[in-house]
Amino acid sequence: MSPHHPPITISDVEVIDASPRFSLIEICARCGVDQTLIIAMVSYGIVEPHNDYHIPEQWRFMAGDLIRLQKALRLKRDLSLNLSGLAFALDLLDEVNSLRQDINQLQHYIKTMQQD
Amino acid sequence: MEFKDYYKILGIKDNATTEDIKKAYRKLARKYHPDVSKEDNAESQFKEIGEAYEVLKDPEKRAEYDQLKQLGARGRDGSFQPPPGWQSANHFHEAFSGDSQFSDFFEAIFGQHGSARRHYSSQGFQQTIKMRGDDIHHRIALFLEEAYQGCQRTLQFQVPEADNQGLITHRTKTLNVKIPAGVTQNQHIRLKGQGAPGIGGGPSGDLFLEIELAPHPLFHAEGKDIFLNIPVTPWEAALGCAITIPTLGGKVSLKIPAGAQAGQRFRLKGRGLPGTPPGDQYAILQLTQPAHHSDKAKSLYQQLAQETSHFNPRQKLGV
Repeated sequence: MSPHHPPITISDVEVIDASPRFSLIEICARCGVDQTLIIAMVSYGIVEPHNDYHIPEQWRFMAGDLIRLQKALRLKRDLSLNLSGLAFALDLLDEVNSLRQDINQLQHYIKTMQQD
Repeated sequence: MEFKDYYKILGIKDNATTEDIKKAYRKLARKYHPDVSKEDNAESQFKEIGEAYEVLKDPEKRAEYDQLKQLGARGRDGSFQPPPGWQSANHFHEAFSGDSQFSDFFEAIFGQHGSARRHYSSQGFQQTIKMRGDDIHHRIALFLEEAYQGCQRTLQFQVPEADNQGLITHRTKTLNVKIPAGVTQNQHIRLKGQGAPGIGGGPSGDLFLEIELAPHPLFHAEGKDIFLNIPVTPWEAALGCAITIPTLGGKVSLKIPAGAQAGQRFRLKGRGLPGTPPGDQYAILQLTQPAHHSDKAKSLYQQLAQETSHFNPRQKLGV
């Protein structure tokens, strides 16, 4: 289907959760939406900006926030959610994910107990 | 080419109303949305559903599809060919979106000139437009040992690619990535410029990798810190002892003081995941004893019971 491309080797990667680094302008460019929407999403608590909440020009976001916003925008587009529904869905998804992780841990724990 | 039964994909009858179609689509879209579903084939299912809906929600396209379904030539193996000279009345254009991709079947019916590729130059998308490529997000699962030592991973994923006429194709991109030592659960790694290519000379997006650590048989990680349960016998805890315990970096000796209690934590500084500063390892004491005792051991326990009869372990319970 696609022409064959040789693999690219990358040894210079960046671990980026140490500090919040994306400005509102950068977030908008990466999400392909305008500031009003991101500001509205922040007001619904979909992500929490770092720095002073009252001055959007000073907001900084973590990589995880950026990925969450991109995911939120896909869900909003594909499932025609409004912002309140979107925030609610994301909270529930977070909870489901954290429960899944707990279940994994517990199943794992049970397995090791049974082996002893 | 395989014939796609859009009605079957949405689980509806051929005579379904537009309202039925919308309802079926909404329900399936929620179920198979790749950001929500944990099913292995969620992404391809979601695309199929989207494609079926794209056709059936539009009365004109639906009529054309129904006609084709009746008229189209079917090979013995079930393969499908549109009737010779087939041309869609719909001038279908889809706005550029990095992650939607319709099937060859769809393109053959509704795509421009039956091309298996698609244009996005209509409706304001001109060559002069300059757009940053999409960021791409992937999770990678690592064993704790790999997170500790760092490792190399080969990743494969699809990126959209536009040629100079604005036609979109998808290609598989392969990357060999070196994951540095000391990454933690849910941490992100950025590979600059390795996302989807930009449009009209715009910069490429980035690739974000989210780390997911597989459960380990012994260790449990929280951030950079590592937790390990250490079983000791009651007499080891009472008398104190030096024991050997595992860490991610190899075995170490740990001195347990006399009178140690169950649940007590011992910190092994800097023995967690590497970094500046590195994490610590915590050894958590658990008391354990043999399931059966010999007669001699039992009588020794009886002596111990008499010797420590003043101690009430349930004092706090008020009994």
